[in-house]
Amino acid sequence: MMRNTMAAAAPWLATAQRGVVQVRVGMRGIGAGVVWRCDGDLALVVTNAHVVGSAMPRSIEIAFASGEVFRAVHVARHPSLDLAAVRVFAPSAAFIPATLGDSDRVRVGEIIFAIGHPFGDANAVTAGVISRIAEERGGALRRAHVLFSDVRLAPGNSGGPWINAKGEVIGISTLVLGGDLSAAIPINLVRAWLQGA
Amino acid sequence: MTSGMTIDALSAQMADAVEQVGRSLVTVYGRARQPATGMMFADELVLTADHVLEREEGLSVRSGDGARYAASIVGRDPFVDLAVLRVAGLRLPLVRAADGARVGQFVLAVARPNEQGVMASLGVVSKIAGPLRLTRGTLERVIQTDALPYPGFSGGALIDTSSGVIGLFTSGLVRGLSLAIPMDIALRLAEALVRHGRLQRGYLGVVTQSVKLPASQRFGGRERALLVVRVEEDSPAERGGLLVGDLILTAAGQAIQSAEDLVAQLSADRIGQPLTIEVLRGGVVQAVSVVVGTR
Repeated sequence: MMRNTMAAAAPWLATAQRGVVQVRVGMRGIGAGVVWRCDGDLALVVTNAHVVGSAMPRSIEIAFASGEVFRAVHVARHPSLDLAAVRVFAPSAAFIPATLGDSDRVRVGEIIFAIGHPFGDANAVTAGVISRIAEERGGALRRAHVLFSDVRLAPGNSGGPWINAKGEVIGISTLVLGGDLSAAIPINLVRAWLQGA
Repeated sequence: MTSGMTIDALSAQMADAVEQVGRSLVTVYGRARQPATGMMFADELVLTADHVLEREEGLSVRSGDGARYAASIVGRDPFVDLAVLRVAGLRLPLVRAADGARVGQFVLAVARPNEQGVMASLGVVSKIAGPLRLTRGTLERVIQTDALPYPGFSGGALIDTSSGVIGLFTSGLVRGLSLAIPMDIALRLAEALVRHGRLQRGYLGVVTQSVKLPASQRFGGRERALLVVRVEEDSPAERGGLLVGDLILTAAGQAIQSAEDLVAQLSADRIGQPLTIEVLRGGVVQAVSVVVGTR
């Protein structure tokens, strides 16, 4: 809805957009991923557990905005948080690591951008506001705090980032609840999981 | 958005606005399933949507700090979909009305649909429409928005980005459409509900039917007029001399082609005032003066 207005006001958005990778798993289709950190030619990419599923080793591919595609290996999975981490070797120039924010500071009403590949439309940006910060009752995310937004997501957004108005990733898109409410795992939860993993 | 404002500043301002108006919003428990929202607009008084109150007894509200209070209905009107609750002991900041609304401006729909805190969605003012004809009465203006109405948003606030309340959000006025009742109108109606417990509407005491005029009786190109089929005994209409068989053409100078057209002329401010009605009687146009009553 506000893509054009906001894009003009957010110069970092184009870079953030190029930094979001595609996660391709065999015939499962495409999800999105965030370059969490990189060390030379090795990068850790975070996506959704449901995107990688129970993929066999070597069947995961990471596609960069440049069009380059590299194989990745599955390193960690947290099905109940719907998170997965994969490791990819690629020339370091391919990586645009995300700027990570602090999801404890997220407020209802603030602007967020989601980047993903809705219905295969690569690196599309949608915008909305944080609608609610709440405990998800029941389901896989029981007792976890989840971010909700009116931002429009579609299959292909899974695993992609939610970015605040400062350009920081504050959440990872997760299961779309159906209807008009989208959800994301707060980035601090992802951080805590990766530190423990 | 003020020119030159960074998106980060706008985002922070919107979050501030949600937080601020959120302090004036309560959860309203008046139906079996989904609670709704109400806004504190005067001392101990909460304004909400009428359709979210499915019972009259056992009503309560819950403020943001988690405290729950018993509530009672001061006044309600199903047609404009507004109700005023009295909540003894409830002390919250009052909502602040916005200066107005413009098509295209950013707005946030803010509500407190349950105990999990305030909830918001973003949109723009899509349209300022009106008058909206209701089953009884009219609303001069309504505000349409594309901000998403989540369950429990009725009675919530449609605000600008600096927490001014543009209108009371409700999905109950027109099925399938998210509308806001402009705050100036909502507050005026709320005041009438507090004073009278209901909205007074003008009353004539006629039963009418819209009829198509034969070609020979069409005045000024009009195709329809309102046929008086019954005049109630001892009613303002009878006292004013309206007769069964009269064809109402105008009221207060406005063309009347349907019962809704006539109802639109019977606003509360006309009660006790003479209303000039032009009728076609026996092939002759005549003016009749009826003092608008109420009931």
